[in-house]
Amino acid sequence: MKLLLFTLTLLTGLASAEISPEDFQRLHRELQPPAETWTTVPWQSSLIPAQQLALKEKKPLFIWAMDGHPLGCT
Amino acid sequence: MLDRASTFADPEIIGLLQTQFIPVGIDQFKQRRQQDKEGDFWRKIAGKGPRNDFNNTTQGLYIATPGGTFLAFNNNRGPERIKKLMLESLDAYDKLRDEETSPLTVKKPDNRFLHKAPDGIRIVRVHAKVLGGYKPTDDKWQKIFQQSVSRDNLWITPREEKVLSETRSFPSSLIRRLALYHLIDNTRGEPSFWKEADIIKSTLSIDASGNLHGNIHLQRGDGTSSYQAELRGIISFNNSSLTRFDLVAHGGYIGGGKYTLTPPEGTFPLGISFRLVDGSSPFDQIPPQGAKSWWQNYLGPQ
Repeated sequence: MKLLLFTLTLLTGLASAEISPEDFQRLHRELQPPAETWTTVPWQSSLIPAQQLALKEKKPLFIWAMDGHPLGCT
Repeated sequence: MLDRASTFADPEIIGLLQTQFIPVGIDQFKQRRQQDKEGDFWRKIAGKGPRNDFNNTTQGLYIATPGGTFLAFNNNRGPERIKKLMLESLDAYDKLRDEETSPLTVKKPDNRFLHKAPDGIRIVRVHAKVLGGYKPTDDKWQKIFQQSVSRDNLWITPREEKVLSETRSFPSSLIRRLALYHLIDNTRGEPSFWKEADIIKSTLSIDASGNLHGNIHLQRGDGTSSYQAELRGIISFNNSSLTRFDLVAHGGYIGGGKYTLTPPEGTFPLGISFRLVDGSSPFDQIPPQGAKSWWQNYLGPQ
């Protein structure tokens, strides 16, 4: 129970803490995504240029179709 | 983000995508509604899959020929299943290589939907992360959600860039856009955006050195969700052109949305970062989530 209370206090403190200039730099760095493998794929971001390229290179289309653009949202 | 951390973290799938396929990401919300050649092409492919009711989602992974002949569909995240699907599709494609087709062009695009940033728009990359409060879990999918860093893009219009550079003050339209569409927890899926009436407080000012400071308080009318945060950042210009837009929001968040279920209980810390990008990567050009259906409303009155 003591641990739970300590954790809750810590979280409340984190949630309401003011951002000092040092915190700003640290937070801005920490909030960047880690290096992700999927970003190394040469994704096209819409169907028409992808279809044109697929035809030119004689390759099939692999379509990642989501609710929200998978390359940029959520 | 489940796909990014599972299917598209597999080196063999990445290798196949890099060499054997033309990979494309789309927000099918737009394509299944689009009344133009691109919409027709999507409906031709998806119409042969199991999700062929275009009043509902057609989400999933599809493989098709350049002529739009459907080859495969799956909505599973398991890398082994997807690899098998890709290899089988390559075999199937071999038999259709000589399919007669021509490059698609769109003479009359359905302008209700944008696929890239309009000319002159400055693009700011946005990432959000829940910084604590989750209960420990052994479930691998929940772990992905709990550790995820979201992505979105914020648009700044040419007029807003001019106001920022000339007056060193934030245009109300930009503060509105930040508040409604970007100060949101989108780490577990598509967020439910705030409404104008949910903005209890929103201030953001710039000092002579370009330091940004502000506060935000957003709260849904029904009290189910809120975000109270401090904002800090720095902005700089070369003549009237933005060269830096670094901003952080940090504060206490409560609640989730229809597609962002299972937030931490109670108030939890949410951090959101903003960073100017140069627009050169395909990731930069993806329109903001808030602009997906009615982009004019996302920009608001200018």
